[in-house]
Amino acid sequence: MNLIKISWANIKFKPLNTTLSIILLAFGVGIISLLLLLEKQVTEKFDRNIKDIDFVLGAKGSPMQLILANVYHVDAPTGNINMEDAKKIVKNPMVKEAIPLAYGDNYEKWRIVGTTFKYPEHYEAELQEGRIFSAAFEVTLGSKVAKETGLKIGDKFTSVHGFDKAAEAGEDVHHHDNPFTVVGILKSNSSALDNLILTPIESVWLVHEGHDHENEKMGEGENGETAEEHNHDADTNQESEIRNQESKIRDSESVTGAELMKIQAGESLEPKDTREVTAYLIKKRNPMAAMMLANAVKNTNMQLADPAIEMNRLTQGFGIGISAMKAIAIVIMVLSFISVFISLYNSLKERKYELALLRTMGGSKATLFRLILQEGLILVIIGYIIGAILSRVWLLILSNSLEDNFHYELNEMGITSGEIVLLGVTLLVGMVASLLPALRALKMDISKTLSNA
Amino acid sequence: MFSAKHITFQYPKGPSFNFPDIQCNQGDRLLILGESGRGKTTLLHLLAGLLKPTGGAVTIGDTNTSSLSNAQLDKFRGKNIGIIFQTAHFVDSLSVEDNLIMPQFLTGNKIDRTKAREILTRLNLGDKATKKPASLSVGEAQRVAIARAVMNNPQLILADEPTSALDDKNAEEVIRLLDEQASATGAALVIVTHDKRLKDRFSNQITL
Repeated sequence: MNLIKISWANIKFKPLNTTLSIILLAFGVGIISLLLLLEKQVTEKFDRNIKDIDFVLGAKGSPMQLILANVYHVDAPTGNINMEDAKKIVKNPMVKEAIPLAYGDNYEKWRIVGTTFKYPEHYEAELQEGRIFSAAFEVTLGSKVAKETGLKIGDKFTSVHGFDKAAEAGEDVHHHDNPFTVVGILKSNSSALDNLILTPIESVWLVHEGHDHENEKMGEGENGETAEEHNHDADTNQESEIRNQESKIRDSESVTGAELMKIQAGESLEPKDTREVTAYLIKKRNPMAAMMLANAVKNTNMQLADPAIEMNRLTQGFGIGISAMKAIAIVIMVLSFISVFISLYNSLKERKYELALLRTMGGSKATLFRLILQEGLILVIIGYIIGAILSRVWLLILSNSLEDNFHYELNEMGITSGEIVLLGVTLLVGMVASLLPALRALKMDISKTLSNA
Repeated sequence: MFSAKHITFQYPKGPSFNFPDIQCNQGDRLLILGESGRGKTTLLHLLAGLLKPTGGAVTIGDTNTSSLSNAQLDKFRGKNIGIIFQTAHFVDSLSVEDNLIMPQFLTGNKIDRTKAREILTRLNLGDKATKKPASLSVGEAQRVAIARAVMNNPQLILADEPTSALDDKNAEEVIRLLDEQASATGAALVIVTHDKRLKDRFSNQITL
């Protein structure tokens, strides 16, 4: 027997009186917790994907779409740009590194991205098994893709032209015959890579230029122009793996080195190279880069977008929505505290005689005070716990729908620091709501109460 | 062992009372009789320390209850005085057995569930131990209330109209039980009543 047990028995005894308080509080806490969880994860995910990408160079259109499509891989690309034109921009000395991305195909709705080994390297991707792609039609799968498609190393598959939506709706579905071969699977690192199928950029060109196209252009690579810094200090297996591929590609590059120099010199050595890329992810060398590059893309059919700025615009956009939801949640919580107060106050009226009786049996004023205060606190704690669980359930549902639509996952269910603050506030306000009824119990005239029964 | 001397009580903006002196020894039985409005319940509350007398002193054992602080008085009352009211009240959310151990729990005495169950069995209410008090009949409830009043082996048992709500059979049972329990714990028994059935039973009487 203890006071908590008595408080708990009282709460259980009149469940209807307390259910409303608990439901209201659970919803208030649930919404706020959900917002806190979302805020944390979305920010983390956004930041992880932006990771040192200063600009994205791509086709004209909505800059936000350019970022969403090429950094987060959640929106359709704005279009393709001519690689030769793009190279004129990215060979600028202000550019520290430029990673090409080329889209076009998908496999079971998973995007196939043509790129170079620098792309996984940028996100510090580690290999789960196998190796990074090195030749055309070799692919390395993101962890999620591997899991969902069940593809294994050595498996072959053919791609379908188009993007998520189009492929889903069955429009423009055009199978390519040239099969891709899985050569590696990446470990999950919670970046966009998890949802991608990576292949050398040449694969994408070959698929779209026709299979009988001469392969001479292959291997021209995207890594030569920008003075990339090779500071692979750590000697992990996979880094040396990457280095191997790097040298491989460089070898093939030397074959066409002369050709390359001419292109760089602006000479036209053959009819204009028509190969296209979707975007370049650019890391700048110094702060001046922004202006210089912006000037360079002027009067072209390309644009330069800054992921940080675009994501800021986006979060500001749904920031209004979040504020509105927070306001609603706070109103619900205030209602729940009023409800806790009323429910305790009413039950106190009903139980006046009972409480007076406790006094005649040796219970002190302090005992009654604690009893009532505890009841209020137990109510808010239950409400809080249900709310916290509720927010996880909502997050799971939201995550599932996000995953269906964008292959995006929100999977961190841990307690956020904001929630601990929320718990503190809940307890404090819960205590205040119970205080008046508890004070009433404290001041009760037991003789009068017992005589009037 | 128990005395009330020169007790007066004045309700704020209400009637005032002068009560006769009362003296009881261990094992004594005393009926306090009087018409309604003569302050029977007021006297009982004064004796129980639920009210503080305006003048005079209530002494139980060696303790002058007026000298105790409120918290001390609560504890003292719980340990030394068992009170039975006209209608029995319980903590409705707790089982009958848990209600029986409340006096021990609230005074910090050792909780004796065996004793609680034994008493219930003796009252033929063993099957009600785990039930809620609402399942008891009026007569059963009053018997359990008496059992609860003696859980701490009090020196003084105070009863306020304990039989007025009961039929003859139950009243008889309650009177017998009060008498029996007072004897068993060696407590003085003071009953405030105007019930004839009690007057016939106890000869030591004071009329207000």
